[in-house]
Amino acid sequence: MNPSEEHELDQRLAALAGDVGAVLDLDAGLAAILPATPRPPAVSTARRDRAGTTLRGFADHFAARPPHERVVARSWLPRRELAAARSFTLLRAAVPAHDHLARTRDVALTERIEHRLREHASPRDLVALRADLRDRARELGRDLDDVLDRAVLSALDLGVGLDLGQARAAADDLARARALTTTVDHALFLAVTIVVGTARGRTTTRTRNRLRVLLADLDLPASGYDVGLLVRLNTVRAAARDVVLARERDTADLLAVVLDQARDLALDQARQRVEGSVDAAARALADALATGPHDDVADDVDRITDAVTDVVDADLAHVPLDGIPLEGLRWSERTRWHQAWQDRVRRGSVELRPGLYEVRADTADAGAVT
Amino acid sequence: MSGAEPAEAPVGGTDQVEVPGQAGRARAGHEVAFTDFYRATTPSLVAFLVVRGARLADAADVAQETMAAAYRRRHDLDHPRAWAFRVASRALARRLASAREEPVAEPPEPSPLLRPTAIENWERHHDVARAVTRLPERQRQVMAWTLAGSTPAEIAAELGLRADTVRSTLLKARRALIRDLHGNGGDR
Repeated sequence: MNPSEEHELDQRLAALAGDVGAVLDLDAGLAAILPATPRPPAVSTARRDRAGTTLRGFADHFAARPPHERVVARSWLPRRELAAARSFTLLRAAVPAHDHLARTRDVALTERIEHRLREHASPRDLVALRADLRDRARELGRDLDDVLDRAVLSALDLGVGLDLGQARAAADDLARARALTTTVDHALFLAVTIVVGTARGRTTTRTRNRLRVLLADLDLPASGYDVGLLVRLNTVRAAARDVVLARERDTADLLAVVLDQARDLALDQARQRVEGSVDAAARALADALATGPHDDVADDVDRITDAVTDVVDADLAHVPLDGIPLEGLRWSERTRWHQAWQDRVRRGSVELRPGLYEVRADTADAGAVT
Repeated sequence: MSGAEPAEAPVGGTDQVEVPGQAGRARAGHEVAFTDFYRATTPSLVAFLVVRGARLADAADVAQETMAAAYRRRHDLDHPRAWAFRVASRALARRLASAREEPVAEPPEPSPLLRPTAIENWERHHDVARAVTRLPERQRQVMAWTLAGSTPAEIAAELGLRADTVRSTLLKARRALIRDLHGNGGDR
């Protein structure tokens, strides 16, 4: 197995675990179990008290509207805010997946260390192994950072202020704690090898030297390789593992809270943009956003986005497109366009597959400005 | 304190005395605790069952049944998460065995937990979910428990194996998955 294949497998497993959240309707599942489903406290009382449909209800209703209404909605739909809320929701779902990924890697790493040590470890191997451990720990930290970075980018794009410093520090801590616990695991394995080797009367000088290096890393005295050392190492190991597990939980919890807040902020901004609009559908969206809770944001936003994207075979011959951003619209040969726009749309589109076209960004800009 | 208790530590075997007026609040406390537990646990439980070899629909069904049982027994469970994974794993094993015996059984009513529109697309997208079904049972078990966050020692205790065996089984499973995914052209 090479590292890139392993990494790819881990990513696929993490994606599987992460995406499961998107296909589950936890509200419906809970409603089937509880006598009355309690609502999470994320939604303010003022919001709860307002009558209105849910975002899902809006998405379903909106998707059923005729094509010309859906295209016109592009002029008021807060797509950037909704996309950010979707992104935060998916990142939130990815947090437990990351946790799984990290644990899977730990096991794979321990396995690899033991294989390499059993065979023919030289001092050079040991140096390489320690570098590998450090790299792996940093990689885990980087993955968490990556989740944070994507959250920060979405937040910056929206002008949402997020305090991610604490979460980032937690990610660094976690990486350090992981490096510590793998070093202790490694030392423990060597110590056991030495104790067993001594009992069998075998020379274990090289192993002793390797263990000394690790014990120095851990600030543990290396006098004697007896049961006492094993007990001490086991204690350190248990403590290190506890630290890692606790920090993993803390980091995951912290990330989850930050991302939930970010999602709520993005949805609130979306609501503010459409509240008070002259368009009835826009006001319906504002109501839906105010109603909450928003547990299925990703799926709902996907539905809404599909509805404002798909005009395959639609008759838009009587729809002037002035001021409507057209980027991303998907259309077919049978889609009919307003006469003044037909050529521009055709020129500004790319063919995705035979008979299916997509409007490129520059046409959208022209449409918005005109 | 109105009787709300942490999700991970329900009061085992203690009868709570609920004075009138507090009963509603206490019940609401239990339900909020269960709601948190349900939301935190169900997605990883479904992923666990998929890696154990279940189709997504079966995984959702078994997870939902398990969580319903966890709700009924919420006062008795000290470690509801571990309990849920163990019970779901066994329920799935029974289901897989009975499916082999009765291959033409009526398809069950879809679980309310699963969005009906999402299944096909999800299964098409995650070829790794199909690949795990081709692993031997033991390797699927070890992969699933590992993905659920269990250590080799914990898995060894759960499955009655040695930790070394768990590690080597995990290694074999990962190799087989990588071979399978790349053998199929390595496409997404």
